[in-house]
Amino acid sequence: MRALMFLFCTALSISTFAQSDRYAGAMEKAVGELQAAEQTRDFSTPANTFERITAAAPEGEWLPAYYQSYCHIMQAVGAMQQGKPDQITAFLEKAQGALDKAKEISPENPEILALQGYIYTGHIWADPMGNGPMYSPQSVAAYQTAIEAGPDHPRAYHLMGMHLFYMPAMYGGGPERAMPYLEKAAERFESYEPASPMHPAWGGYFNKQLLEQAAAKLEKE
Amino acid sequence: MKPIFSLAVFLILATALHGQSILAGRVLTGKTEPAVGANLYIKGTFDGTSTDADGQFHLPYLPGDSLTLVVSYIGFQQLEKQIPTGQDSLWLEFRLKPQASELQQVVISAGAFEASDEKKAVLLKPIDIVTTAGSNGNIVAALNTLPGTQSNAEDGRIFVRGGDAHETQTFIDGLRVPNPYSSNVPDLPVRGRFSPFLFKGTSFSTGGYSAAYGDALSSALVLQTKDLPEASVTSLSMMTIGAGVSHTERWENSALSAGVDYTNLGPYTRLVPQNIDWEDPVTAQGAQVGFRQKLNNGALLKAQANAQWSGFSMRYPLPDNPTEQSLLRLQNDNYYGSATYHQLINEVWQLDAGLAAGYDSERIDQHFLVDRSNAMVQGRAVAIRYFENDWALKLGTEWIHSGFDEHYQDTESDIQSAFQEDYISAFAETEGYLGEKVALRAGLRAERYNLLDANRVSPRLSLACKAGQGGQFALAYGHFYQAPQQDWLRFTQNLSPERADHYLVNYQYRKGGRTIRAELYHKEYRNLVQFPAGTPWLAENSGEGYARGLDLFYRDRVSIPNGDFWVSYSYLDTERQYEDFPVAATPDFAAKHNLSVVYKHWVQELQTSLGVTYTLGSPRPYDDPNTPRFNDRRTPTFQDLSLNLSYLTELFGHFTIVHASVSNVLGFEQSFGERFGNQPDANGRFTSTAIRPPAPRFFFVGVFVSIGEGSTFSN
Repeated sequence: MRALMFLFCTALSISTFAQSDRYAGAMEKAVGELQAAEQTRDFSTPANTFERITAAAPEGEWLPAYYQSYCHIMQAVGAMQQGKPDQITAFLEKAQGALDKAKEISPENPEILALQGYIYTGHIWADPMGNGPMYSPQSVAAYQTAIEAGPDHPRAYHLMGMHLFYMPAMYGGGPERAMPYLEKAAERFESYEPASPMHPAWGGYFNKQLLEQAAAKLEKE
Repeated sequence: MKPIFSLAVFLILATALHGQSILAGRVLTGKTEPAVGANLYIKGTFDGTSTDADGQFHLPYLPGDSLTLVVSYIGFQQLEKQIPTGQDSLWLEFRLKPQASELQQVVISAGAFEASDEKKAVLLKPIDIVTTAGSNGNIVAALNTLPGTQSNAEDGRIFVRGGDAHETQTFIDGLRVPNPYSSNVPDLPVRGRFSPFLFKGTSFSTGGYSAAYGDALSSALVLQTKDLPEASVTSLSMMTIGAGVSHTERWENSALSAGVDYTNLGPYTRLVPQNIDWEDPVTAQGAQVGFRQKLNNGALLKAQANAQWSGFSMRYPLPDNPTEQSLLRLQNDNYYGSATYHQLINEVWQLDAGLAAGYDSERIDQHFLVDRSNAMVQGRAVAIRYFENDWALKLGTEWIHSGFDEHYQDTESDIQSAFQEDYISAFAETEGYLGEKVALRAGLRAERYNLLDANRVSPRLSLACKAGQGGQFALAYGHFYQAPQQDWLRFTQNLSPERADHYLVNYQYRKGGRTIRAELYHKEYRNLVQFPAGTPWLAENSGEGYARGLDLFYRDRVSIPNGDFWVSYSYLDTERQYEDFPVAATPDFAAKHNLSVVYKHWVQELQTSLGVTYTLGSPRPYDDPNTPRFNDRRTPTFQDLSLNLSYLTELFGHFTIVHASVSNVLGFEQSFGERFGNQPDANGRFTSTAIRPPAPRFFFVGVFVSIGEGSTFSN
């Protein structure tokens, strides 16, 4: 009887252990796919993997939905580079759906708030003249909220800098206005320690590139 | 301990060694198109795969009690499939249905042209209206490039499908605007009173419109004001014809805006040759305030008020003998204010309520003196109930009280006329989907015309049916009533509402930035005001008429890189016998053929938007009282080519637009027939003068500066 009890307990712990272990394993694999995609620029594989994990994630885990949203935003970037405005909107709508899930789990999360600004910025790519006046102030406001929620996080500064860098000067953008944000982002990319290897760590390399481009442009002027 | 350990190992091994099954198959979009990179996974697990370039997939899985396979693909509806247990391998084929996104959904389309930022299934965006060449910030001029309208450049108002200009009513946030156009004398074009920057959405209906609107025989122009502005901003404008300043202050849940503007055509008319002999060219002063408040219960309160004072004097043909001119003076004061309240009461009920008041006074002074004033108060409330199955029921009521007062004086007569009018209405309308392919809107409107002591009930019906990918057919039908014009009501109130019945068939096809649209219509007029006895004092409702035709519209945003154009063509066949018409005839505002081509091009390197608008109107009839036949003369064909240019730049670090435009670039000879005297001269002949535009060309240069965050402008 005792032996049976023990067996039962072991089996139970194995199965719970297995469940959380499986989640950790799946996330590790998915983050690996994401890192690979950052090189190949094809985000469809990690997008699908994160979507699966989001659908079955243990309660309280915001990372899968966050990464799913991030992958769809990257797919929207791809669509923009290929000049397919309709696809940009479709990807961003899916990104928004995933981000809404993440927000529900972790409402005041600076990483999630920053990504919200990224989605708004993305809508401008689909139709700069038509969507710019409406979405630009929304994305700037989202980055500011994200900065307030987590002043030591680098990504909201980075995205704000990126948004301003690509925005024409007459609309209130340009390298000069982007510079302070990119610099602050650079400092934070140096100092900021992600809570775990699974937590968001993207953006540092691109920030460096933008910083160089912005400096070069300012020197020209 | 040992045996137990081995048991655990055995348990684990057993699971692992148990034969894996294979799910394989194909995912397609439509009939044969493979879905590349579609996501397949077993519900509740992290196990899944993606389809390859042929849409094929292989998914090893451990068969459990009941497994559900999920198929997800961007732009398509998610599918779930129960996997039967106890099989080693399965071949599955999935056909995905496109997501019922707004773009693909069937929408009520007959008669309606919508411009909106929020909805996606619209043909225009508000920015398209602002950037149409030749419109110079005048909403009405931009709408006149859409099918179903007439290019009556000497008038400026909207004429829809053989209807007179007064048959179009303008509504702002559901409330009727009594004087939507600036004040003018006949043969000088008017402008819309309201700036296009005030609105987030425009719905222009050329027929068969919703039961929510009434007292308009032909058309409803429904404008939606903006909600909370995005940010605080100060705007300055400097134009060849005036200047303006306005400021919007945005707080967290509220916003206040105020602005003033001044227009003076004096310096301009001295520089540019005019067909008109101005004494004091047009001057106008305007003031606007606006307020927005988001309340704690999520409701939105909007209030705005406008005042406009304008006037001019010029030499103008005398009514008796147009070959002679004398000084004419016009002074107009216009005030309009409204407040609306919008609340989602709970998940199923929405309430919209509004109040408005307006006052307009006009004084025209030539050899006679006319003092005319119009006062209006109205209230409106609409409740909407949303049902789970995508159906909505709208219930509403409105009351409009207006007072008309006119005093006419000349050497021989002194006539005072005044009346009060009450218009009360209630409507019920339901809108929703019958299955995936059919959308229906059906409504009933009851109207009470107190002054005429008349009650009317009008049915409205609109149906749309999906026809293949991107295509849809639509139908609309309805009865529309309208009180006779105040011009006739001041003589006699022994009249009844005029009536028009609309029948519309529409086909629309849109795919990736291209839209084609064709609409056939038939409109039957009855009970039109007519003066068989020759005098408006003895008017009766014996007039009738018809209008029928075909409207075509093509919009293309993708064929030309950075270019965007639309082409509108309208064919109109109309005759009516009304007012002083001795026989049924085509009225002088109706041209058989109307064509507009609007092209816009964005030059990235120059940060400049260029626009060209070409308009053509075939000859229109007009009457020469010296000939025995009615309306037997024809105006020349009307043509216009307008250009505009907007250069986006920075001025002292602030977003700036430099806008320049010119009308009739090619110098087409524009003429709109003749104006005849109302009395024959000594030889028994009616003398006349040609009706021409105020100037052969109109030039405009303006600089607009926005001080604040972002690229918005203050209203």
